Amino acid sequence: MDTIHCSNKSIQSFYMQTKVKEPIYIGGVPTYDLYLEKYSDERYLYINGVHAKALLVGTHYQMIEPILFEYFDEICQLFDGNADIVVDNESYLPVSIQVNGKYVLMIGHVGTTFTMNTELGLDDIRHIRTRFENVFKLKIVPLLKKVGLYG
Amino acid sequence: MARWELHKFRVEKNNNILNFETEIIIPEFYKVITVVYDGKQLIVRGSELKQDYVTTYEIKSKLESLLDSPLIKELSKHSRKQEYRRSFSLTKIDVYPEGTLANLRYGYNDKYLEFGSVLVIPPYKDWDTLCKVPLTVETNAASNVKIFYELLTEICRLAVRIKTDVNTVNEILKILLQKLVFKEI
Repeated sequence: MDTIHCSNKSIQSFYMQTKVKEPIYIGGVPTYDLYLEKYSDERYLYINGVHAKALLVGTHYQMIEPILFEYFDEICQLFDGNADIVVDNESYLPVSIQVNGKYVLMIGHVGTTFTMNTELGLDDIRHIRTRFENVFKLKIVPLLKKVGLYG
Repeated sequence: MARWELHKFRVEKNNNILNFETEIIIPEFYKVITVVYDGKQLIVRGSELKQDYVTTYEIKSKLESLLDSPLIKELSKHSRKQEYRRSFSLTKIDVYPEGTLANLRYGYNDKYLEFGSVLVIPPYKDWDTLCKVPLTVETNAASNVKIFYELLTEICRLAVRIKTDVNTVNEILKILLQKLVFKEI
């Protein structure tokens, strides 16, 4: 699962897992399973805990940082206050959303049964779905692919 | 007519045999009326029913229409088995002075989709409301999160049909209540 933390409609931090066919060398070790992070109050991208800029071809990663964070901001625009979102990393759809510490959406999965409890209407959930799909599939993933951080 | 409360409503077709059961309570008289359709006739316990062929046919065709819901067809896409069962029922029925809330549960074979609470009696005047109020949704027909979201979308896409289903429930109850003879009332 990936996580996103928003504050006042801006991205604060995120954690996103990706897999790559061409390895990234981290500490000289070819790495295929990546986790991309942004920490709160920092405007830098980290890859597997290492400042992206410090890696080989780090300037490429550095170039996409502001655009990547803007894309995450687009997701955060949906939520007022502090929002903590857990995202399914296959569909890039939220499985839980907490706003100001209170769950407004929670999708549980036990065995073959999905259960959703929410304070939102299905129209709102559809709107959230569209935004997440558009931002992840049409913006974030293609951007990451461009610099070899996805697929 | 005395005040009545709905406590059960369930229709299903098992291996092509239609079954139906509803339970209505008249609180004033502590009276429980159960109506059962066993595929051939309406059987009433707790009160007399003026039976006629037309009523039975009318109820049967309305029950069939509930089982013809596109939501059930949607569920069928997620079942690999040949059809042996369809069902529609109201669960978690809560009766308030202002109206009756319930979950709508649609089933196909062993797959189900249940959502609520929906205002069933009287139905929402504006069915856009269905997708504006918070609903709990439960299903075993989704194999992943994406499919679960697709089922949520289907609920809203089919809101008009769901309205028709709820209206059908009300029509069935109306027919039954009109035909039931409450001798004590």
